[in-house]
Amino acid sequence: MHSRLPNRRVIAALFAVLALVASGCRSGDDAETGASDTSVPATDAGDGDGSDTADDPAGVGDFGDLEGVCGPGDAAGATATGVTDDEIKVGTISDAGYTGRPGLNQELFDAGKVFTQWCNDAGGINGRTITLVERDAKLTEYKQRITEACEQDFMLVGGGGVFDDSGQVERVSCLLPEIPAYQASSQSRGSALIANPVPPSLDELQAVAMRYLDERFPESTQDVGFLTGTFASTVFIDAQLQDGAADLGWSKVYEAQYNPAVETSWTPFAQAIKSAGTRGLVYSGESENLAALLRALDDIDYQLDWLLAGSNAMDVALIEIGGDAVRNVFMAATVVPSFLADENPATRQYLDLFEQYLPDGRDEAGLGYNSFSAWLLFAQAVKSCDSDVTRGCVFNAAKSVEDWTGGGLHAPTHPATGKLTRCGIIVEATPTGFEVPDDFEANDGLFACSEDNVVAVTIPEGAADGGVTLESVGLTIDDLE
Amino acid sequence: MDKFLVFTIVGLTLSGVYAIVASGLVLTYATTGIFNFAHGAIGMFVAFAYWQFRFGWGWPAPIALLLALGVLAPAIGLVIDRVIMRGLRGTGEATRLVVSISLMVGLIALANIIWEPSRSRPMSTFFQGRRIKVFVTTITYHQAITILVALVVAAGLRWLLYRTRSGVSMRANVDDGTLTLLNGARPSRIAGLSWAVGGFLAGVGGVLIAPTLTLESGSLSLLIINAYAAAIFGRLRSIPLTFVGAIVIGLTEGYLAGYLPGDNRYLAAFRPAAAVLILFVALLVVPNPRLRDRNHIREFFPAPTVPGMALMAGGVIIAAVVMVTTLDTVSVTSYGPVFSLGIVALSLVPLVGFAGQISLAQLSFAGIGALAVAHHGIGGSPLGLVLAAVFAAVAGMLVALPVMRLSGIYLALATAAFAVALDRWLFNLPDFDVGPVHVSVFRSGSLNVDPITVLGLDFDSPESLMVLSAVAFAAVAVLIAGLRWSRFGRQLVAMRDSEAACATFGLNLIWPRVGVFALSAGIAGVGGGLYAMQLGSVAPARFDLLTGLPVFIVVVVGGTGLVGSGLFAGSMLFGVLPFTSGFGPVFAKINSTFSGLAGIGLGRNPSGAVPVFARAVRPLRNDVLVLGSMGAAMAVVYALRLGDAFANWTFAVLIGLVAVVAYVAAVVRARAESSGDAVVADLHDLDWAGITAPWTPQQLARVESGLDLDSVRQASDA
Repeated sequence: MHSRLPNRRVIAALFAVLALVASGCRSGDDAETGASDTSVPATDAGDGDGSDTADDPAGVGDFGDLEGVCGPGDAAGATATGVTDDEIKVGTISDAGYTGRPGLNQELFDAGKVFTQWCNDAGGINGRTITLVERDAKLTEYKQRITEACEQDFMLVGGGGVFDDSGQVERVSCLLPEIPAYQASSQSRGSALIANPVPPSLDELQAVAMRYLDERFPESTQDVGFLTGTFASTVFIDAQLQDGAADLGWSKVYEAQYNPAVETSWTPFAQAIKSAGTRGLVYSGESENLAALLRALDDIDYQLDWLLAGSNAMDVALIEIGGDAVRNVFMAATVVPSFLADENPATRQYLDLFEQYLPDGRDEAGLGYNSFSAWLLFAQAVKSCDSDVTRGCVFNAAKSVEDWTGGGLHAPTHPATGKLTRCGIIVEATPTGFEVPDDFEANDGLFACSEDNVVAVTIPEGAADGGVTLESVGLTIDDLE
Repeated sequence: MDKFLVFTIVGLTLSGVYAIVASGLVLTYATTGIFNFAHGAIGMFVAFAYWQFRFGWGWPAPIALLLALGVLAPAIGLVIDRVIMRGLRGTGEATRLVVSISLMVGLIALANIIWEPSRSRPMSTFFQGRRIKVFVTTITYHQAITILVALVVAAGLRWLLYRTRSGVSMRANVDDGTLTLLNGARPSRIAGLSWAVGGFLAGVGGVLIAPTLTLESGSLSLLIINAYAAAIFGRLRSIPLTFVGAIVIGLTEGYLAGYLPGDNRYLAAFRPAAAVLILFVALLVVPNPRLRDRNHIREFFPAPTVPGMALMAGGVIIAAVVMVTTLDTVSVTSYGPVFSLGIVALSLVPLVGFAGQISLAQLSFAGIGALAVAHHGIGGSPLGLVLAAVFAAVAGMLVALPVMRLSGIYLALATAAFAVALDRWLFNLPDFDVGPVHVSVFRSGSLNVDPITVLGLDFDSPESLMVLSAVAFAAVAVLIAGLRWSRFGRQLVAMRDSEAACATFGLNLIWPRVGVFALSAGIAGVGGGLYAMQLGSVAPARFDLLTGLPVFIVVVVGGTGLVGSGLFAGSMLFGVLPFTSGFGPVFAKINSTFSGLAGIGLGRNPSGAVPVFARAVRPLRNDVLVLGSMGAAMAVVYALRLGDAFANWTFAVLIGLVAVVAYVAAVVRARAESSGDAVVADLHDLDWAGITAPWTPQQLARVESGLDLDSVRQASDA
């Protein structure tokens, strides 16, 4: 029973948040593609350092625009914890065993399984097979799983835990590097030995959707409302969004917090939004609550010019529950949504690999793409280290990648600097599914990229002090071997 | 003015929902004397069933409604009455509370098993899309129906309770069951009817609320917290006043939505907490409940004995040492909360067990302790842990002072309101000043906690922290036992047994009550502080009301008046359950219903599980020879384990084996001894029979033979 009820509610919010942090999408069968002016992305996106060795003619072991990610080789030696002549043991963290929400973030395990099976079938990395160790934190046991991984795993790849604020001291102390799919807490984001393939940022905000709305609806940016859940994490995101909006010269006419656990009705919010004269609303929270809000707005016959949601709203539940009330809802994606698979070979290949290796897996859940990208980054780094697979070599190789798209799964990112991506896709939710609006102008494959897509924001009080550095546990980067 | 009118109408539509739910609560309480925490959960379950009939299988709405509300909802009520509530006659408030909370947990677990939680279940409102124009705004048909149903329910209940024979006997049954029985009423039938109607009303509420929200088992079950406030307005008895309460709360929420300045960081999160604050205020103005005495209390808790306490305190420390020397770091981290949160569980013993007060906010006090350690224990300063106790005790006193007139269910609700206000509002505030005091809470997110340094010892590993927590646990256990032996402890027990008698003897009950609240909160604060050190960083989510409920449930299940129940709760919740959950998802699922089932089983055995266990091991405890050899054998096994002669599994099996052998030996020896004793008819040890321990068959036999009734009967026959 412990923590069965407890975190149900919490998790609802935290789950929403982590999905906001890491972009992604999940859409239903009824999702339609609406991008008319997009094309197959250029294949010049970076592939890390030293990944140009094996050139498998059959393309086995190629992913997207990355060639020979996996393949045979003759690497040998028990060079580090979890590494033997023919095997590398890698841990993946998720919360799938949390009884309050069974299967929470199961896609992290699923993506890891698909990647390792595919990679091992292709011959492993330099001939070493990858063994995936599922480290199920079940929400509350993050710290324990880290301690286990410290002793047994070579690295942590493609995972993440909702309560990742605990366990960072242990991870840094035992010099266990991580290539995560997402990072939930500010503690984790500020901690050392992490190379995130799609880095989050504390002091920058993805504003591609705001820019888009600013251009498309210039008349309604003076009447903007903000609505968020009463959780430290969503309030944090809301504060950054308000900061970003102020940067763009938007004016706020309405602001409120809801508590997903106690709202008996969404009508009060709908009426308040209406009576404040709100024309555009920025919403940070869960997609099911968003659907209920949209219905309440529809009930009082009030139509917003636009509603900006996080990429976690790209969830089939929004359409199913919201129905006809889902209008003028926009969000930005940095990972190519699965409804665009036909226009993006990497996404297609990702879905095909799921079909081949794990047909029942969660192939459309957003974090799975991030996870797969983490695995690709890891594989490239291991490959570049040849036989000398040490935590130091692999981490430094992954951390020095400056231009990364996960083979084309997502927008170009900078794992080396941890800078936020400058690119995004605008997605609109409609009663029939998700689509890219016709007037969205992509300039880099499916994405619109520009320095203007990111605005600097202030870090909210308290969020900056987290983070475990090597110095704080009495180590230096030279201790990483 | 238009705006005001709009939000008045919005508020009234909310009031309708609260009125329906609250009147169901009032009906059950007024007619059965049980405050049904599971009311919302029943509504949730019926709403799920309605979804299944109407949308899952696509049946027509009238049939789905008839099945869900006309058949299923009353049936759930009847089953609850027959299976669970029957066993609760004559039990204390805490026990009854635990049973209904457990029922809620059980229903949520059941719903999650039947309706897999990860998929979405769209549900349309009644007459979706149709609207009525009301003055300056529109309301939906669904909202109009809700208000209409609320009015019908109110009128119907009034009629049922005051104009029908069944209703009058329902009320009579609560006022005086015995008298009602003498007048020819049938209490069991009345209770069944009450529960059936209560289930029906819960179902109506569920089916009306669920479509405008999302169909999610947890949050639907908990919506009733707002409705509690309305029910308190009616003192849990008056339907019209409950209606007034529902309107007050609905309007407050409506106006707050319209007028609360959203850009004030201190007030932004105030709205969700408003209902519980209203609840708190309503509790304060509720007239003093009569001092009531139960005719007899079925729970029975003997005072701890010196050897028993020594055994327990020593055993806890030895167990911790054995654990840290045999288990790997991972397991030590996993089982760390056994002792730290065990202390929080222990804090309930003086409060609930001795004094008969109820607090659902113990984990919130632990959260305050954690905050103190995070802010004042920087660099390992022991001041943090001291302040953890002090701050938590002060908070406990602040809660106890305004509510000291309250008891039983009112006290439970007041403390729950406090806990909810903390986790919905206060814990998430930015720093603020109260006069000269600067208050820092969780800021945004989690806080780092440094491990403590005492007398030059750094408790910076999971192992050392576990031993430290175990020592603290043992110390607190001894402290609580000492309390029970003291004059103060006897006052508390007297207060629990009969407040009326205490008042008659001129005892001032204010000081013991506030004192025990402060003490217990302080203990919880220390537990929270130690727990925070084990976590290394703490977030408010770890200390909310719902996380704390299982601790409360399991302590009561263990037997609140016994110090051992703290250990029972700690080791069950944070030792046995995580351990067995590790065997596989099936076990995890079974375990998820544990505290629900355990609480429900409490109705059968209100003194809890620990006495049952204690009775079972009594032969072993009394047999010094066997106990000594068992200890020696275990020490040998432990030494072998330390010498790496075998692994943990063998070690555990061997320890278990030694215990079983010793137990069997003790039982055999005890039996041999007692059969020898039986020849000597000594009636003196019967003095305490039935008082300190239940009657045994042997004692009964001795009484029979002493009375020699058979010869009397033979004589009279002759």
